[in-house]
Amino acid sequence: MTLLRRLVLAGLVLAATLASGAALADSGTIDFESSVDFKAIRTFALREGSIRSLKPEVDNRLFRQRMNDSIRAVLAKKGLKEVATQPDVVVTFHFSDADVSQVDRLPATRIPDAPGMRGFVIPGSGPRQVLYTEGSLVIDMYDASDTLIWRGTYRDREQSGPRLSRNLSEDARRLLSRFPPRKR
Amino acid sequence: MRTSVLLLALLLFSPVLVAGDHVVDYDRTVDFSGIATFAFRNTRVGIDRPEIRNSLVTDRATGAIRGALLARGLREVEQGADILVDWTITGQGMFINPWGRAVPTGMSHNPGGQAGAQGPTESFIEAMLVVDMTERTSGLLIWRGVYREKQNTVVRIAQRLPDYAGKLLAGYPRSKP
Repeated sequence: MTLLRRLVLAGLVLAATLASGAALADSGTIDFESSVDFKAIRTFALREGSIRSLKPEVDNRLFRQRMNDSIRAVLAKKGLKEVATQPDVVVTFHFSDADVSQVDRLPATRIPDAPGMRGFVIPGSGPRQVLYTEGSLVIDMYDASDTLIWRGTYRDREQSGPRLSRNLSEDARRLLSRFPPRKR
Repeated sequence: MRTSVLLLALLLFSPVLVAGDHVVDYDRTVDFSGIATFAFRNTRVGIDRPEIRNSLVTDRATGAIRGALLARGLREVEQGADILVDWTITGQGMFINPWGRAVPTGMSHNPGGQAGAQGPTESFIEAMLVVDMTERTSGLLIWRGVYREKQNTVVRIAQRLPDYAGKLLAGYPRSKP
């Protein structure tokens, strides 16, 4: 196989990977009250999270326990201590999900002539159904006056409920890795 | 070269059924090595098709779970079990409409027929097996496994049901985590 052919093949594989991955991209954002000195926060308490889902993978006490453990572990690693009374912040999470059905169509792609290889057309494909579940994870922190001071939101799109359930504790870790926030 | 590229493109862009996937969660505070006995409580087939809603299929699935728990040293008892085991298999039929969109169907519609007055025949079915273990004394759910798989037919789901159960039970903790 010539170098050119290998490059063409690699390009196709890359394009296909990007095309298939783009539909299920995740995204995470944080927002916070800029007047708060987050570095002064030393203690936290967990408040029971809320789950709005019909999926048995997430709508149960074991999932809630796993999420709490994940949040607890990240905050402890950042030097915060869990306390039962008078915490600096109260942390909680909210989760909801929705099943999505969409249609993908891939247009035909023309591979041009190249030295040693005639050009050709890769036919388009579709319509192809894409089914996924979009989970929305929100982690909130409230100060002593019950004012929201930090919110992280993560949207995770997965092709199966079990995978979504497995990934959510990691999603929580990703969001909390951005705590304390840098000053705006 | 051209053939291989075309095959690769077809492979990457053709609609494929997603392979089975599962998740197991359990109570991290429970010492599973202290659990010695189990009993089955509820078993439910939520797919209204004769190929799967029958005692042969139910017994096979129950047998797979029983075998996995016995292999871990637990004993089945009729009364006073440490944990109560429930399992449910449900299925969501999906029909791919002419525009390529997958839409849910009722699972009792027109088995084996064409799209018509009774509704469309499903293009595929997403099966979901949920196995729960509840601590009898506290009533708390301490173990849950969920297996999902897209299959073309209900018969295939019925055949695969013991495998689903086996894969889930492989995640039963052997000792205190």
